[in-house]
Amino acid sequence: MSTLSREKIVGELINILGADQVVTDETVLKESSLDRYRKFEQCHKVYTLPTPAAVIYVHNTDEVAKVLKFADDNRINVVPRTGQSAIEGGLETLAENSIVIDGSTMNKVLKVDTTNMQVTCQCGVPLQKLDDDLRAMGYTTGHSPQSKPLAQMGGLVATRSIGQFSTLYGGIEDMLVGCEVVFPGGKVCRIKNVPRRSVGPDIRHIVLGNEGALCFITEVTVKIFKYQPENNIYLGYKVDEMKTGFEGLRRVMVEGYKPSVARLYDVADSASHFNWADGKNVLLFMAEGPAAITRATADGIDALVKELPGITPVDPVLIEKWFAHLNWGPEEIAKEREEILATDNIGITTEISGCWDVINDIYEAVMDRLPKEVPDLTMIGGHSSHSYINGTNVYFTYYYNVVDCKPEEEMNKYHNLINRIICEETVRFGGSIAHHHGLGKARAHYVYEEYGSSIYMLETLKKAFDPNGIMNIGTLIPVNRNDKNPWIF
Amino acid sequence: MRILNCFHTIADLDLLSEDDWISGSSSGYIDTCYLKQILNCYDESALELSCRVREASISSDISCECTAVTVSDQKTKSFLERMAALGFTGTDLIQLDDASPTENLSSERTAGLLYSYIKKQTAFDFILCGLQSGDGAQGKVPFLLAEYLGIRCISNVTGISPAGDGSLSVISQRDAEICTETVHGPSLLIIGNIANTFLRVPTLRQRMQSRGQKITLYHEAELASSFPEELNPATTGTVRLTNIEPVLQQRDSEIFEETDASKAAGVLFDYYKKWI
Repeated sequence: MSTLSREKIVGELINILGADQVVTDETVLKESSLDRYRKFEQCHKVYTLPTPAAVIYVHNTDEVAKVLKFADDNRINVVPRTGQSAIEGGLETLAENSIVIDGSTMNKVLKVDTTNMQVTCQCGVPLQKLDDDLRAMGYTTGHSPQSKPLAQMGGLVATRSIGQFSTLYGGIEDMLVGCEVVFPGGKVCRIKNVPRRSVGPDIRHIVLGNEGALCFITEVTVKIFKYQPENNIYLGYKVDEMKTGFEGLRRVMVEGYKPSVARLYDVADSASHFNWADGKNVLLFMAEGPAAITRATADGIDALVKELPGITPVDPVLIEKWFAHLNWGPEEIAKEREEILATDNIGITTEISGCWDVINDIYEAVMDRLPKEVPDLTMIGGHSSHSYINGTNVYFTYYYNVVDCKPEEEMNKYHNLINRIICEETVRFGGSIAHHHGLGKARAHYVYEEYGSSIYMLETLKKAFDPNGIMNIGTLIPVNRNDKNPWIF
Repeated sequence: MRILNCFHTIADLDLLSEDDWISGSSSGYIDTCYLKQILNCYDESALELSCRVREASISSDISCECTAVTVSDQKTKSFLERMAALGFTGTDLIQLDDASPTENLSSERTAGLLYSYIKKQTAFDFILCGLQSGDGAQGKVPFLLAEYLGIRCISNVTGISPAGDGSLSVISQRDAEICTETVHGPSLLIIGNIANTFLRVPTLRQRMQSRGQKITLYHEAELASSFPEELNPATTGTVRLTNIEPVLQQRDSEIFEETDASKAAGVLFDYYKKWI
């Protein structure tokens, strides 16, 4: 990579941005070298990755362009970030003297357009604040990932994020209307806001999910919707068999119902969420929107689900109240850290997707392999939280005790091993190894198996937009590939 | 050495919505049925301490048997299963006859049930109780229990470890001093505020190995006959919530916007000057 010294890099950044916007505090730099993928190391304040040269806070697109040009000219690795809620290693600084570009200070909502039902905002606008402000006006983004209290708009687009109400509103790919991005070399591109276009390939999809490996997102325009919580209807059921639950989800989607929430929790995951699950799987739905539609949706789903065997309805109030406390903010993260340090017990998630005909097979194969091959597991469970007409996701949740190993060894002894097993089984059955968390660096090692022959398209995109390889090295496409042991990294 | 842990589970009130608190303030009843149960934090510390004593005893070849008991309903079964997986050889549930929410239990009734239960068991050397529960917060049960059992009671215990000969080295806080002493059974230890004592998590393997361990059920009625009269639930009844009021925690605040850091500091300083 770059031949410039750390001091030279910092000096040039100060020339471009001013000293106020360039942070070189050692603690900040170390904390900025990783994300929650290395949660155990993070809790123990163990930092094994190269420390970045600086964390810079940008205020406008021009500053981003200047920094990216400087980085590209000098072959300096750049890691874009906004809300820092990444959990797949996407924010790790794998190269020496990287520059972390933080867009959280670009936090203005530029335009709320209630005629065209769009909102335009800078990349650092927090989703929670945006949605709270919109709700006060009677609107919503419809986007509610569990990271909502932390996440910001740029990162949400960069990771192809998805929210809890996706079955109705879609994922971020359905919400993004237009955007402004900056490519290496400082090239600024704007995609305009139109309802649909047929003018060649949809170039928004170069931006969506690029995970900072192709460009820096400076501005986004997303759709907004009317906010009608007064019509919400909740439905909940205990289900004897997970397979029945998947079939229930499938039928709801195939019949054309569009609940905003459709979830299936297995026994283990149910036990950790619901004190009334009584050793059963739990299937739950929420219908949202105009009153007539929500009523019809709820009635239709209820009738459909009750036709399935082994179904016991539960009081919808239980679902409503549970749902209100699903999101994770700084308080939950702080409490989690305390528990991890006290117990050496850590919980992680890996989400995948698959078509209906294979999803239960993937689920069962993973649940069969993990207890046999992974030591010290204390819990394995999973739930489906995003369904489509042709399939669904499974969000595996697992906890393990970290036994007899240093914080920096935890990754390979447990986390990467579990990830590998889940990804192997998913690929074996033809599913996708990441549903909405992104590849990051964690699952980039399996990108060849994921893409198959179409890896040519991803690699060509990377070469075209980032020919000098400065954008978030190791994300999407791994730096090195160890064919024998792809998960030792 | 035989150790008994008396523990209590409570609804995770952090998950209670503001609406439920507010509606509860007018009705005097807060609906917690949808909330997850969690271990009362002091009891959790006590359970973890027992695990540590047991671990230390194994390595020094001292016999140490731990039993966990709770006064509750079937909802606490999963907690007892967890204790079994962690090596508690006794996992006992004192099941209430009525369906009253456990937060309505009087301390006297709880202490009476535990007393009667203990009288039916092979003698315990040490009984560990948490300082107080997160819902009732009365802090009376351990003292009542010790009084009626006629055993020594040490409160505000912050550490225990095997001391040889079936005794424990006990660290407790007394006013301004920390006291360390060797304690012989039978004694009741009230576990106070100890940092970093989350209960360890059993592995799946440990859970599978303990799957066969039964939870012994005791019904309230079968224990009632041996209540001390003063703790008889017929006379002590239950505790009922009669009124709750939200505590207003609003603060006076001013909001100002300033993008320049030095100007912002100036504004803050001018504001601060009013208070000094």
